[in-house]
Amino acid sequence: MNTEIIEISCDPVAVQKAWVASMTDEDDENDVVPFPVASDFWPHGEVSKAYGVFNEERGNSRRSVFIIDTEGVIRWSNVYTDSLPASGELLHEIEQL
Amino acid sequence: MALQPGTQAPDFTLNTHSGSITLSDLRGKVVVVGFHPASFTGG
Repeated sequence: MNTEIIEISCDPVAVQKAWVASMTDEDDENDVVPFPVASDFWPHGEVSKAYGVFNEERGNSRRSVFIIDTEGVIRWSNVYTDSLPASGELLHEIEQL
Repeated sequence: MALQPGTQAPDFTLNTHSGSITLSDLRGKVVVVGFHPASFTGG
C-alpha cells in the first residue's frame, strides 16, 4: 500500500528540526527520520483544532492518529489518553483499505 | 471531539523539519496523520 506518514505537534519548526537531529546521526546520510515532522505552532494548533484534537487546557495536541484514504476521507481515527499507537493495529487498518 | 471516520480530512499546509507539506498533494495515497503532545518528551 502506497502510504505516507505525517507527524504533527504544536512545537515550532526549530524544535522539530532539533528533535529529528537528536534521533539521527548527522554524519550518516542514510540515517533519516523517513517522514515529515510538522509544526502546528502558528496559528497555534490550527490543524489540531480542525481535527478536534487540540487540548485547550495544555495548548498542545492530544496524541491521536487518523488514517486517510486515497480520496482524502478519514477511514479510522483514535485518540490515545494513556497508551501509545500500536504499529500492528495501524497496519491492520491500512490493509483493510 | 476528534473527527470520526467518514469525514473529509481537513486540508492543511504545514512547515516540517524538511520543508512544507500539503495534505491534498498526497491525494491518491493513504496518509497516516499522527499528532503528539510535545516533541522531546519521550513520544
